[in-house]
Amino acid sequence: MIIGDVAAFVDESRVAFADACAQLGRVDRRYRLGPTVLRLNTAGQSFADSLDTTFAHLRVADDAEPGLTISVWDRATSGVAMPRAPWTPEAYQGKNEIELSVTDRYAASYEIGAHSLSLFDRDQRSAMFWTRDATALPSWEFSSPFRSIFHWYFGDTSLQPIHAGAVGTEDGGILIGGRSGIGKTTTTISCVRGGLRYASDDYILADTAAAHAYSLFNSARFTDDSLVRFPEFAASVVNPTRGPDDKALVYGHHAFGDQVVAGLPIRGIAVPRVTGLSATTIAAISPAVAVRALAPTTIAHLPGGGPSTLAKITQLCRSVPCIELAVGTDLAALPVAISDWLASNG
Amino acid sequence: MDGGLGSVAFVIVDGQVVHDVIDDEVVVVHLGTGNYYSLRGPALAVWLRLAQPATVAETADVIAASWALGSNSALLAAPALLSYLVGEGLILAERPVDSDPLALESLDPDIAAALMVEKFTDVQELLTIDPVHDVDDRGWPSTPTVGIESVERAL
Repeated sequence: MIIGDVAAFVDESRVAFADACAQLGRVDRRYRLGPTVLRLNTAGQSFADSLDTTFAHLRVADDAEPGLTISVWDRATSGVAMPRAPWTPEAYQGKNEIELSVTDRYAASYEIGAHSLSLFDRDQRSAMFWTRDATALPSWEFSSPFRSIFHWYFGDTSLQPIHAGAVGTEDGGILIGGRSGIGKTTTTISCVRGGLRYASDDYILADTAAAHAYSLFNSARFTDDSLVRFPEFAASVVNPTRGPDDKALVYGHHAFGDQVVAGLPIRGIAVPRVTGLSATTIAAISPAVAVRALAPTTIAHLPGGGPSTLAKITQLCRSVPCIELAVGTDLAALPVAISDWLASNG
Repeated sequence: MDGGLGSVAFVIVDGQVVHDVIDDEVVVVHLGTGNYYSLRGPALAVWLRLAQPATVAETADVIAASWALGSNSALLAAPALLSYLVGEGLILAERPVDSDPLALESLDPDIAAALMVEKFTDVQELLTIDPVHDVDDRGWPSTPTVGIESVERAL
């Protein structure tokens, strides 16, 4: 339930951000964001540098014309709190969404696990990201930040953040879809090891009409088990001390070199299945199976926009071949199988 | 043989349910529970019919027209399918129904299988985050005691 003036709250938040910048200094950096440019205005060098690591492979000139501006600060470092919330506790909905049904102009979500607020102004095409303590953010907030804001920003276009990895060759790329634990990281990192191009292991921005995957984050997150399978990346882990449920975070531009790319044309959508057999095999599946692998998990992650998200993903799955990737235990054969498939279908 | 549902009409729930047809299947996602469904064959035909209110008899006609098990089987299957979809929160009756729901599991296995309904629960945990109970003096959520771990595991 809204009990205050949301527009006034947004204005107060902008003043609070200016106060934070007065305390810490403002760092203005710009990055490629699909077909447009993201401007990150961050209060404080340290927070800006942490975020820069995630987007480093997409950095553009400081005078590039931005399509979206996000203002970022935290309370612990700046001493500047977020103004009083203009809603009651009942406004906090599932999926971390804040119910702002009184206005179409603004969208908001509160990530309870990270204590972070994302706030989007559709009219101004600008957003704010605030958290209580940047140094206490969980690894996923650095590995894939601002997903909700990107989701809102591209809401009325053919672009859509999708929960999927993306790898490829000079022939194009494949999306690797499915819920967490299904084998996305095993597949994408095996492909990195095999020399393929890397756009993501977890989230990409897809142009669902043009079948193109834009890289958003150059991060990769490993479970302890997957680090055992890929020990060569252990030295690149940036959070060696982490909680028992947290994953090891590796940045691709450090660990994967020039295999990290800004995007790939999507030639197919793969749904991995770990078989326990030695060989990796590829078989055609119906587009509906791929929709089931991509859409529910993406919709569950992102606030609002369920019907349009499903429609975009359905459009994408209709437009390219969909395959089951039966992942074998011989991981060296996996990138070969994908390269061969892309050579035949690129 | 309508499970006591009589002339009650049923229709797809608006808002909490998103769905899209692709080839010979409709993918249905319940935004509240995170459960999602694959409906094919007779179940797809019924789902398409439920875009407009449909009774048990009308649903049975749709089923009978889309499979080869005969109208008697369709009369058995229709109330079970509708009750199941109501129980999953995917459709609702236009007026309260005073009868025990029929379950798909109570049907002859051959008939149940022929309806071609699949349910998936593997992303459910993403939406079962403990709701915000307490806020601080500025209205922002207090630190939760449960829920963070399930978020982390799911990402």
